[in-house]
Amino acid sequence: MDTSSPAEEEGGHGSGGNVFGEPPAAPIELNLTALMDILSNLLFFLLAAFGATIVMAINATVPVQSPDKNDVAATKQTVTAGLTVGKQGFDVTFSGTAQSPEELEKIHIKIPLREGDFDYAALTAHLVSVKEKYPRSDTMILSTEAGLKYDTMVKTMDAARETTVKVSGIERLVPVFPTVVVTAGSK
Amino acid sequence: MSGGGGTASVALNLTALMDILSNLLFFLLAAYTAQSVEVDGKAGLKLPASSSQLALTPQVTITVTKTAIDVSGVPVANVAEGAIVGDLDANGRIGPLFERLKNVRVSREAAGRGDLGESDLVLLLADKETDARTISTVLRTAGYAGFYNVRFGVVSR
Repeated sequence: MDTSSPAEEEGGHGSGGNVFGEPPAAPIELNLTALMDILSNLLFFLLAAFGATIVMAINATVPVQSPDKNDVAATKQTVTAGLTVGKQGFDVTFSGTAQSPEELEKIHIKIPLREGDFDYAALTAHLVSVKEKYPRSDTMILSTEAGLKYDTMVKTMDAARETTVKVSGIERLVPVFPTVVVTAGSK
Repeated sequence: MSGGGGTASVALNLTALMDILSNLLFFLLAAYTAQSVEVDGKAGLKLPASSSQLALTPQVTITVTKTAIDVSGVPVANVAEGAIVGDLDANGRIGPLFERLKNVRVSREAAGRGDLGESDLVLLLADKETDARTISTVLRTAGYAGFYNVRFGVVSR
């Protein structure tokens, strides 16, 4: 069993001095309180800033002239939504080359303002009902009247993009009209 | 006031706590500087909130604040009360914005990066109070300059 002390192991001088016989240096106690204060402040600032700058994105496109491609739906299972956001509310029309004008007119709807604000819930509900009838639809052409705010535009895209449905007890996000083409609206 | 008979002072060993705090600090500093989009530093820019869960990737950024439009930090037009100051050109475009975006595209092509994925994608950071018509005009101008796809920057709701 080794019974030697650490001091003896280091220098072989049990009195605590170094090899030159000098007395041991007095232990230094650092006062870390001020540094702790600074670090804590920095930490709280960074934690606050970290949460505030998380930026997400919404995808959209602008109309492009193309001789061989257009955005109008061409199958029985697809329609293209045309959503105009005006000061009086939403005007939702639909287009498709495989449907008759009467069939498309049946799903045309005007959603007026509700208590002075846009009725996003009614918009989602109508688009979901159209999506159920034409399940492969995904494109919406969005135009806005002058004088409306960008915030309204974003909320409209949110309302049209997806909805929550319950499938066997589990809530799932289901895309409704996620592909948005932004056009300039009427004056 | 010699203090005789008082309680003995207790020396706390803060070394372990210092280690933890330093690690947290370095992690947060690294994460903070790695963020590609800085939005809080700009005056007159408050992004709308959205339920979107799509993460951002770096690209050409058009910023529309309450007072100006800039492309990656270079001012190209002024904005007053949410609308563009000055006339649009014959095609309904914002002239200086179109020129700036076209230059970006030309310099990319000159550097051999013209046909990379998402080369026609632009990130739009706009103040939520901006007139929707201003946004449409900015997008139309971007489309003319070859940036057909747009990503709207929003804050998570």
